[in-house]
Amino acid sequence: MIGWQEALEYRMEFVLSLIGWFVRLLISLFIWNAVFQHQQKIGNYDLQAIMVYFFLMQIVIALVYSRIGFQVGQDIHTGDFSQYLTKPVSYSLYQIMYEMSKNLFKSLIGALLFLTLLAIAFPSFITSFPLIRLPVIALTLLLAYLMSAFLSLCIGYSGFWLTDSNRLMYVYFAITTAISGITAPLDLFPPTMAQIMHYLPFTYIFYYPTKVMQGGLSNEQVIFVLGVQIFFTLLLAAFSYFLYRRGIKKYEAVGN
Amino acid sequence: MILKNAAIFWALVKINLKRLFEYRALFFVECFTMVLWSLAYILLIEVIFLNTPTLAGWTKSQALLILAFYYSFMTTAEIFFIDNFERFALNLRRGNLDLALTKPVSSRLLVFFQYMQFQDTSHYVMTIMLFIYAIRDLPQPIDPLFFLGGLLMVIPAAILNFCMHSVAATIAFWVERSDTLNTLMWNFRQTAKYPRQIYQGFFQQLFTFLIPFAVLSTVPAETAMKIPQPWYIFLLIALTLVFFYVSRWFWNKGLKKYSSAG
Repeated sequence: MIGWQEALEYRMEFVLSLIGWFVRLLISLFIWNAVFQHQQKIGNYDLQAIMVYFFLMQIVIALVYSRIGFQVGQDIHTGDFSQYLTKPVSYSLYQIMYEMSKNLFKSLIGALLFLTLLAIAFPSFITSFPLIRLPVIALTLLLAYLMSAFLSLCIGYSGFWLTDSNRLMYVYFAITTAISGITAPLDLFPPTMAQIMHYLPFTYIFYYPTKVMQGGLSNEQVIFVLGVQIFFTLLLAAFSYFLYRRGIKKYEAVGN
Repeated sequence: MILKNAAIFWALVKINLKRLFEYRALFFVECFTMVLWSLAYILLIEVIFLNTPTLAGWTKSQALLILAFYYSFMTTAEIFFIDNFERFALNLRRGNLDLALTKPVSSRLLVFFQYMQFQDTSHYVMTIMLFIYAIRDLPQPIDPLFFLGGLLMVIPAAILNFCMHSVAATIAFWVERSDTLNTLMWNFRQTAKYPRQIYQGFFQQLFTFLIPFAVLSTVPAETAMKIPQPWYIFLLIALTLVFFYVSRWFWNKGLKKYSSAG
């Protein structure tokens, strides 16, 4: 509720983020439109498929990109973290739920807008969309968000040992920009590189959920993706819990 | 007036340099982050050109040269003012502008150049490497004189970049929570990483004249590669002048709206 209320309270901020998403989408569309000036098909994509991919990618980014690492790092740095130690709530869970509620509101509005644009630009994608896929899409997006959130939490908890964990968040953003499928679909990368990326968690946060939404994977592949997402979610959750337990033993706050 | 502002600017540089020597490790952390960010975009360009011979008439090495020019003006921005723009909305809400306003110097200079990030000078290393990587494969060998001309065009590009950020930051005088404007400006800046010719129709006009990030790195690159576009060189300089005066006027309007926090 707090997240929803905040999102509603600062409407201008919300409108500006929508414009930001739109500009990012535009850049991708213009780049790939220029690429398709020379050919009809690249890999498994024609112009429409690549445009749909980037529309859906924007929705995925809006929904799953977690920034709680900034808040966690700041709480530790300023000592605000202390107040959570005395409360009967899990700090990690609180941060995840708060961000989730905030993102969900923004993403639903953003998704509606982008889907409307997508329906206008490529009506055949919307009309041929099988509604039966919706529960799987919801599940893969939820798992992608949890992976992203736990990764972000791990970075934030590094603030127990580092003076400025925010820098690591920027490293994380750079890595995801490079090798998660945000800037180009994984299957257009050089094969060896795509193979390596396939084993890293980042593609399961952005690329594969987008492909699931686009319907570009077989049933077996979807089940495999969900399995890997569950594996990484549990692994990252356990690692973030480990960092939290070790961190609070080291944590000190003066005057809080 | 110019000499007085230059003296204040130099004083701010000295204070911030001292800060860098206090936190030397930051230099290496920044260097590492910059390498990663550059690699991310170099990789995108590699992937694009794996699938096409040219992008809106630009070859891979030419597109990389645009990226190198982008990092030239952006590194300058990151060292001197970007961080101050990002703090501005928060400072305004906290009433921290009072101190700058009571000083007998340009308030914009004091506010937007207060904290300099000299650890970001490490970005120039990566930028130089990118220049070398791009130049070695250009379709035609580069003329040193024109390359120098291209580097000189980075100066108006950097000033225009500052002025656009100044206009965006000044909106904070009217809009209480405008922190997202920083993210929005980051998104607009991304248009400068690619050839301006990829943008079509209305958006080409928008990113060339109204929010002219698309010309910031393409025009210096065109100059360096001797691509005859004198109209665009004139346009970049003219836009810089227009935005300089508009941003100053807008700042002064904003100051009248400021009522402190107390």
